[in-house]
Amino acid sequence: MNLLNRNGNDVHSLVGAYAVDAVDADERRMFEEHLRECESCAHEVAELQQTAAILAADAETAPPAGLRESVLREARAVRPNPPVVTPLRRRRPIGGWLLAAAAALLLVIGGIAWHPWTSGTPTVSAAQRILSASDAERYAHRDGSTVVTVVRSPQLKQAAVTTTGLKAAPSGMAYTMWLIDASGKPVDAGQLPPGASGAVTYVLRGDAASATAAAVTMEPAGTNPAAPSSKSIMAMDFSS
Amino acid sequence: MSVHAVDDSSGRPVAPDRLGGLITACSRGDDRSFAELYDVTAPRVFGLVLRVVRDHAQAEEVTQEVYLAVWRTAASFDPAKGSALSWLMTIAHRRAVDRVRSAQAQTDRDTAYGLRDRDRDYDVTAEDAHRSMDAERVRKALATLTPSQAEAIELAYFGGYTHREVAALLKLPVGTAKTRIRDGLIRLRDAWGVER
Repeated sequence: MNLLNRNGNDVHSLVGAYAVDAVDADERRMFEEHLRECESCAHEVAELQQTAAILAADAETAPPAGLRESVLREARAVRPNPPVVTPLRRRRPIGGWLLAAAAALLLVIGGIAWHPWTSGTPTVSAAQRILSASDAERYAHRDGSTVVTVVRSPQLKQAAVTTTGLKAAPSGMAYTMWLIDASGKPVDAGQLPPGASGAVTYVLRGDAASATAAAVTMEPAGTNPAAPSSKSIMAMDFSS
Repeated sequence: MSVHAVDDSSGRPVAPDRLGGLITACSRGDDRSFAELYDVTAPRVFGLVLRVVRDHAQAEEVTQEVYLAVWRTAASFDPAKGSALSWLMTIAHRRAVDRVRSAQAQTDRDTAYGLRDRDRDYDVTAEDAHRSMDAERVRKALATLTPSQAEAIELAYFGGYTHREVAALLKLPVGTAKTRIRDGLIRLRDAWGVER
């Protein structure tokens, strides 16, 4: 019955049927195996699922009034599953991490000043204090017209990042700051607000005096990851 | 055309970031965000599920399952892999299809489908007083498909049939139905400018 060859080209041709769940259980299993190793199919599936999701607009129907309450009640009784946590590669020397940097093609435009992260209070003065500290050290990362500068004051034990020409993060993502501690471990130093672009000033969380470097990764907005989920897109080595 | 936006029942556009943000908040147990997510998306989720499973009571059950799954697995939503709406509707569709297939033995869905829907032909004038603008655009886009592509997609997506069943229903060789489904989806994707 099964005409599909595990390694044959036929597997690819299931991509449309899979995207609309028009596969039986065996085909689903087989295709999902295939998806793990075929990037082009994975990409196409994502696009076709997105396309199919739009089709559903054609079916919109108001749900029965009582449904909302039972959905909410049921959810309140259940704890959301935790995210799948990738084990942290501790002790990895900072050198390797820094080498992984670069590559971010950040472009232009914009200009919002942002108030630092501290619980919503606009503590521009905290940023100003760091930027104008007598012992302020500056570590800049340049990429075209984008300049990202980490300013650190060992005395204040704080650092701030200021940018010009920062390109907004992709939808749903946010620039996430890290301070690298003496053992080479990246410690979450907070997230730029999603949509931040142009000129942004942001006070990093954590002890900047003992940190050996700062780095930036792209993470889903609104998360507090325990470890970077990917290579850094910028890094500033404090020993340089 | 914006393909990411979803209209809620009032027709207010909802930014895609907003949906993603709501899902992220759900992963941290924020039930107010969950309620808002429900309010914004329930007509679309319930409508799709109802269209696939047909039975009102079962559609309610499945919709409830869908939102509970969303609540539980919100942390697995990855904006890098697709839009929030796509993530949600994929869960809803999968659940609806699973339900309708497991119920297949007890129902005479095939007959009902043949009588009611085979010659509906995407009539824009019918029964759509409450439909959003998106629905209108969807119908226009569907009309750009070849009739055989539209038919295969309708049977697969809204009918919940496998591509082999679609082939049998349309009296096509097996490989042809899956090709039509794929080609039709690609055409819609290009018409809508969908990007991951």
